[in-house]
Amino acid sequence: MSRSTLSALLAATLVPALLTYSSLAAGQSAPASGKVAEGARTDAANEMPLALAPYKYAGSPQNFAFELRFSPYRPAVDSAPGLTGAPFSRTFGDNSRLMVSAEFDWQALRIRHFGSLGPGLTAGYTSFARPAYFTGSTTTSAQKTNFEVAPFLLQAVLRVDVLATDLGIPIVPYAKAGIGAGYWRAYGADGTTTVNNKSGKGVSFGPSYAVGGALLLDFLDRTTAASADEASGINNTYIFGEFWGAELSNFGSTKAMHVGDRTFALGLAFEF
Amino acid sequence: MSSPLRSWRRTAPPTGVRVPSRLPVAFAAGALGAGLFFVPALAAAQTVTVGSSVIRVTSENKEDTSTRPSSTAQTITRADCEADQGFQFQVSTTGYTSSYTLEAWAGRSSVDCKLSGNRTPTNGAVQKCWKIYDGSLPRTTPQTVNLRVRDIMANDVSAGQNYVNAAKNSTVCGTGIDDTFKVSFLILPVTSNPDSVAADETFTKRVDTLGPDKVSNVAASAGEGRLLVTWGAVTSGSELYGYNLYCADANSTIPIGTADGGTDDAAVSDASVQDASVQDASVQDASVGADASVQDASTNDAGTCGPNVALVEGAVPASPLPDGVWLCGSVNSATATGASATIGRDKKALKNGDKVWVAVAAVDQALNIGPLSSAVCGTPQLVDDFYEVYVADGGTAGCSMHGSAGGIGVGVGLGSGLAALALLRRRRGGRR
Repeated sequence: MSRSTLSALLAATLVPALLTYSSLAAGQSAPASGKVAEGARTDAANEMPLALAPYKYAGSPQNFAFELRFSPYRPAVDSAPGLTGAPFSRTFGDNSRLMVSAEFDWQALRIRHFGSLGPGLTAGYTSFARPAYFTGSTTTSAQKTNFEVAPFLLQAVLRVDVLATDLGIPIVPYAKAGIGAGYWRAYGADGTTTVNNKSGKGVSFGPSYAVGGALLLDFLDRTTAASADEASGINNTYIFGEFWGAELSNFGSTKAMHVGDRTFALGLAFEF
Repeated sequence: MSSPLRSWRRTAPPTGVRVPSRLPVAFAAGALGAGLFFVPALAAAQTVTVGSSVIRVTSENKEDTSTRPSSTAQTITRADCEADQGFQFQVSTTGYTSSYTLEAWAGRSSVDCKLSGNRTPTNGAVQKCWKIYDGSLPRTTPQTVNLRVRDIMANDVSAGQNYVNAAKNSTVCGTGIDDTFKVSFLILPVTSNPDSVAADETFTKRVDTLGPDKVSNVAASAGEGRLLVTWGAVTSGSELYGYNLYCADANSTIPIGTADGGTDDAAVSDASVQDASVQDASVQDASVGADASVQDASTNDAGTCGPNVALVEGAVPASPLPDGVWLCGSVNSATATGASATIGRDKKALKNGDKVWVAVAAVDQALNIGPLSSAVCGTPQLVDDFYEVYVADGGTAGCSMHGSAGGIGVGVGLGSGLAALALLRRRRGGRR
């Protein structure tokens, strides 16, 4: 792609956005969640060259959100009361692993000039694997020992999108709170480890929470965003970052594997 | 549905080849006044037809119903040979009178066994076909004829006009063959010009007893109740199916490549045929005991395994394995470079503390086994799994009652319910 072509594309993409936000700053009505409201057509048509006029599209109905999430994760196994050592650190070290998760939200309640509220379900997975130590030795064997965690979270999700819809600021702060269930399993070459007739797997419950912010990407190319909405029903696309935690320890029980963590997540979100 | 094992590729038309009698001979006979006695027999057409359903049979001539990879459906493999398999033909004839014999011959695919010179060479020519049925087939029609794979692939012309009888031992199985052979049923006149073929039917059969290349760079590490064995991938030779792991211990005194107890010596592989690197088992025999050529454990694993007599590098494992050698693991992946040896000498789990030698052999798509790698020594040892460490440190979590189904079930159930509720609401909203 030549430099001139790139410049033209950037101009075509960014200039309308800048002009739109300039007009918003002057007190005009805000586009609805990334889409240009129909009323804006008149103003834009009067004040802008036709080629730069906002795309006239009201958008499809919006009820759901989907997030693809990536987090560093390290279960807080060693924080369990009653442990005399740090078995998790000793076995798997101190580094986190990548957790990949997905979240589906139902924006059941839409609060005008504020945002949306509704339940969301998150499912994630990560696993740890390291060579096991020979018993009574500090030498590692070639045999791996493994631990996997799959948290499932059911949370209330509040998305405050008034900044984007009413003020034209493409940022959507949000918060989540709810409960979670963390499935875990310790396994080796022969499958799930069993010690004293107790199987090395289970589920730990506890509260979960998150706060974060999402950057609305639609402003980068409104025409494409609107086309995507028309074609697939995706109203808005975001990248987001959040701090989140899941206290998956059966509320601090000594009989539960503490598989929660407090960490952050980055990802992509889609409203549809 | 017909089994792929039953079909052979004919080189003759399915209905059999009808070769008219040698009319010129008849005319000549008549002209010479040899007598009308011979004329009816010579004038009648002889045919030999083999039914399309050619089945594999066991050494007892019972149908072999074992399953095998489709890649070997049409192939005689080393295992087939060692099992003394055969093929069963349904042969029908016409005009097969006492003036004729019906014989079965085999040769390489490039050789035409109908030519008398290839069966009965003259003037010092080389015989190229060998007889694979003893004498002449019975005159019953149709009749069932069982031919042994060892005879078919014998490639042995030393018997001259006699039955090659290679099936008497498995020597031929150890010869590396990768070629196509022909089986020819020939009706030959007895009295005059016995080499002229009155009728014939020919089949071809692929023989592949050549295993893959030797595995190299074998190493073994201790695990709990296992040895974790790694090797360098075999990238040349036959198309691979996987790898076999063979184990032995210091009490294993019979070299691999020698069949069970030496009762079937013929199973010893022939180094000159298999691979230049394959060692002859008879040579290895000399190393039994404290011979310097015996692989010493000290070179592998701190001298813990004792002498290795059984796992002879380069020898091709033959079935049955000799006492003291056992298949202790396998992997059915051509690209694998590691697997666990988990089976002990007693066919149960390998025990921690067991001192075993292990060697690796590649297996090709025809299930031919390649020569053994060098053997390495290892001793399974206890290792600390995370959960064992956790419990040892006082952890009490864990329960078979809350398995994966529970946790995943919670998530799936909640998710399904939420999605269903949301879609229902959206549908209702759409109707407004």
